[in-house]
Amino acid sequence: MNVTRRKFVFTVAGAAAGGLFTPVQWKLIDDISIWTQNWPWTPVPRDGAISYVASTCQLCRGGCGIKVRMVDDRPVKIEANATSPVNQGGICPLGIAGLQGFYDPLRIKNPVKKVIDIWGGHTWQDITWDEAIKEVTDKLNDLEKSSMSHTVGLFTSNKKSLTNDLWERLLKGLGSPNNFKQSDAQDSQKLAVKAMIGHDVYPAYDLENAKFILSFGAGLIEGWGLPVRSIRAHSKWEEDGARLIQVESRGSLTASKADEWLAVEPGTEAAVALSLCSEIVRLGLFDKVAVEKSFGFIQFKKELLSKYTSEKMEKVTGIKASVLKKLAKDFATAKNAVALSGKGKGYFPASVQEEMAILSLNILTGRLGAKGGVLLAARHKAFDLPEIQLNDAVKKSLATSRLDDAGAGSLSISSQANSRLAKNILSNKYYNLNLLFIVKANPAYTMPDCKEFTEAIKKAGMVVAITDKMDETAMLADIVLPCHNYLEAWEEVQTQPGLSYPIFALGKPVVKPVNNTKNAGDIALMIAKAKGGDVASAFSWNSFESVLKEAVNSISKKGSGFISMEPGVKPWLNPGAGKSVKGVINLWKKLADGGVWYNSPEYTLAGPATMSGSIEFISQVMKMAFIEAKRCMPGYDGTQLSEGKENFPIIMQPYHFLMLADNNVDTKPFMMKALEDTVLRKDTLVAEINPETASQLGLKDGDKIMIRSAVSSAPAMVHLFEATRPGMISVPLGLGHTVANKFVRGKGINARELMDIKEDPVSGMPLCWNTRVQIFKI
Amino acid sequence: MDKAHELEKHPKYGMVIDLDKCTGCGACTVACMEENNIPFRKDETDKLRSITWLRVYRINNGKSYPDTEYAYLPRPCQHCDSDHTPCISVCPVNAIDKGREDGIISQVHPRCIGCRYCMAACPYHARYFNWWDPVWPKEMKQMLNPDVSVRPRGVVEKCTFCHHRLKRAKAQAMMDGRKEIHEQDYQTACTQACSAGAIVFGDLNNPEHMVYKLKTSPNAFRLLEKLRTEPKVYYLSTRKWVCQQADNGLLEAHKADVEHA
Repeated sequence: MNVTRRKFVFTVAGAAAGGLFTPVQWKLIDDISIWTQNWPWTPVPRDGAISYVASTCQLCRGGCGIKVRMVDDRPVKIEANATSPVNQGGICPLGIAGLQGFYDPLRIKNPVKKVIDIWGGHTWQDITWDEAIKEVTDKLNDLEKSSMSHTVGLFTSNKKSLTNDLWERLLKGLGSPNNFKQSDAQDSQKLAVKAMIGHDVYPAYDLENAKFILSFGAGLIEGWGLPVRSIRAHSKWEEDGARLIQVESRGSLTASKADEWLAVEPGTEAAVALSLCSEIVRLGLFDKVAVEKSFGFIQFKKELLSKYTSEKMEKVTGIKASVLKKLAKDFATAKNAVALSGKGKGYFPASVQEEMAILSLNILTGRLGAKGGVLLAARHKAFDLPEIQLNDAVKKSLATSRLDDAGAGSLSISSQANSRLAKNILSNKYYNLNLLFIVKANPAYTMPDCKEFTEAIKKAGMVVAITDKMDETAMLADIVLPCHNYLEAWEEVQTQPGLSYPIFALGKPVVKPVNNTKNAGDIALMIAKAKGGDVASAFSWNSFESVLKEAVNSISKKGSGFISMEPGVKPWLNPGAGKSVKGVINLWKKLADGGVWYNSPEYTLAGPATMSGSIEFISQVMKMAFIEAKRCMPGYDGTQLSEGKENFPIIMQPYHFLMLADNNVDTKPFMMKALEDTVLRKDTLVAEINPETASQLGLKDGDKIMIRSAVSSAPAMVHLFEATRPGMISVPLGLGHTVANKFVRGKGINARELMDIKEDPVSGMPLCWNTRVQIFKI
Repeated sequence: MDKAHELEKHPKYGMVIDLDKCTGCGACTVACMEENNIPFRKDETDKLRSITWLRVYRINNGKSYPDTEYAYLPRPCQHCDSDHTPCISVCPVNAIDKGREDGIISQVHPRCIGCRYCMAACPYHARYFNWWDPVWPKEMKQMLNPDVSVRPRGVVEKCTFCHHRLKRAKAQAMMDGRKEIHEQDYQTACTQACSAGAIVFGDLNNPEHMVYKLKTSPNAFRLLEKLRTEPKVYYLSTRKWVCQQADNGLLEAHKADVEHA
């Protein structure tokens, strides 16, 4: 073809003109621009119909009412349910982020069995439920044949729940006395009540009506008691102009918010309480009616006036005698006052003597059964499982001594002696556990002696963990039986220790179980039924749901109490007022719809049930247990921190706050994200030191240090913080998970590993709040 | 009717946060993350790059032990009400807008080109840049809220006063055949989550709303008032040292300036 100049110009001009009119390139540009924004890896949430399902949170003992927002059939958000009088529309970070636990990649999908490979490692092999239950019952039968049923152990969470009741019933039916749970501050408070007043009940605190709160280290707004309830009470105190006084070494947030903060020497809270008692007795400001009929008051008074005067205690506690004197007077004359104990979230026990000292302060000033004071409510338990029938062989087996010595000898007033458990197992003191059930608990992380406890679990013959996701404890198990997540299960919330009024609420399945899981209560039923014989006949229920229905039936039959179906119900106001429900079906429906059954606080006080029939300042049950005389009385034992000062000059104290869960559930990714960089930097735990102490040690903010105690050492980073007491170091609790999803795993250390644990000689509970350490730069 | 007056007719949503009641528990932050599909990464300890629409700061009185006191200060976007809102003034692509009917400062993610001028301009550090693609574990994608779109890498984001909830409330009001939106119909996720009752949210122009009364409290103040950004987030505290930190003494310096002039 002949290309002339003219042809060429025409072609180019034609192409240019055509190009202007054709949409191709515009379409291309448009496509490219869309394509550059087309990022398929950015998820587009699926839309759907929105609904709310009411249930109850089970992640701690708080028992808050929750509403789960659903988009079609998938839960997308957890919010507070205002119908619950406990949380009154409030919720904590863990309660909200609980959904991330439901969606946790580490949820267990099937029953699994550990298979050890030739390299010494292990893999998890899926097994069916039938196979799993058979493995367990075969083991149980073997043990029964060889009369070793007492070597079956059980470790449950320390929440009061029907699930735990069922498991304890199973253990009892099998004939083992070895049911263990982790003791906390409330258990030591309960022992003080048992020792001095004789009742075997947890003390409850009428926080909502309190006007003068004297707190001995209780992290009232940092997760103490029922966390959201305590925060609500704190807001009420702010509004009412109530007085809050905090006795604590570290300037915690509660101390910062308090009207007055008594910065005491670490470990001397009991000394402060006793000096206040001393001053109250000296001035004759005590409740004469309460004290007149008591036992041992004269000797206690003598002790107070000689050993615990404000002047003497000034030297011990570092608080000026004049301050102590004024506080004693203020507390004794205040209306609706209460003294509270339980340090931090109250997850660790205190010495019984310390609890007795604080209880004495309440007794002397007439706070027992008073409005805003300490209530000893016996009717708090809504429902008890019927008594179990035992044959002679089982009774004999049950009479074997417990592995942790609790309930015998000098520990006879104690029902759990945590500090002996791992020690006795590891030293082969009695016998080995051939089968250990661990139900919805993570003792390998939460026990103060977690390292030793891990070894103790490893020593058990066969470990069966019942949990919804992999954690430190489940990792040690031979068989893991996956239970439902709380959003998939029927569960209940009963009155937990410390709550001043009884409640009962239901947690109901919000979604169908996503994995091959069972209700933790049903697993106990399955094992009992598979075991057969007398054990099976002690479990006549078809399912855990029918146990719950029986509980609701018993509440309905009693006919007392009310139901809260709308916001704003306040059981602590207008006792005896509220809406009641007739008929068990009706009650069940209301409870399943997020209603909460409740009753008013009980201000009447049953007479003391001690041996002497009166309040005892010298506990006779303790004396009977051959506890040395000076320990049978409220007292301060200054020896705990006196040793090792030369090698370990710094005192380490842990601290709790709500953004770090520190119980059987782990912290969630959202919470890890929200942590301040004064708690965690990269993967290193950040410890707080007073600038003065830091400069003495030649440390500056951000320095890497080693914290070494008598038992262990761990790395940390320095954060200078004025509210930390000079000579002390504060470490957060709740970090250092080794088994968790990648957002939580391997972050910082579990401060428990550093704790130098002392045993409370009266209760056998571990005392670990203060530990002597040394710090050096690395 | 002049323009300013016309605007005043409309609701002006704002917040009052009582710092004496605030316990620093962080439920607000977590509720915000869950509501607004905020991504999380393995390491979030670099706070300059960690996206927290509502961040809770710890402040202290600077005194030494045992006179130290500290408090927490939750900081959402302040939704500045001035005519020259710092972020809006600098945005080159009109990706930020102030709602004429609600006063809410919104971020239009598809328009945002990620230049981060607004982050530099914001005196409250309330804006965050998506340095990385948001990635969720497979299971956790299921909990994403369809009301809020997921933001890709390369755009700036911030608190929207849960604007999607206002949209829902409006739709509901329309369905019910009413015009006004009641106080409880539209509440942000953080307000709902606050156990201490420290956060109160509502229409600052409506005398029936709690915030209307609370903002006039003698204990009320706003952050960096001297900048005249007119934040719609008010704080309450009876503690002097807390109030003073709101502007690091700037306001007093400003008053002195005015007197001097």
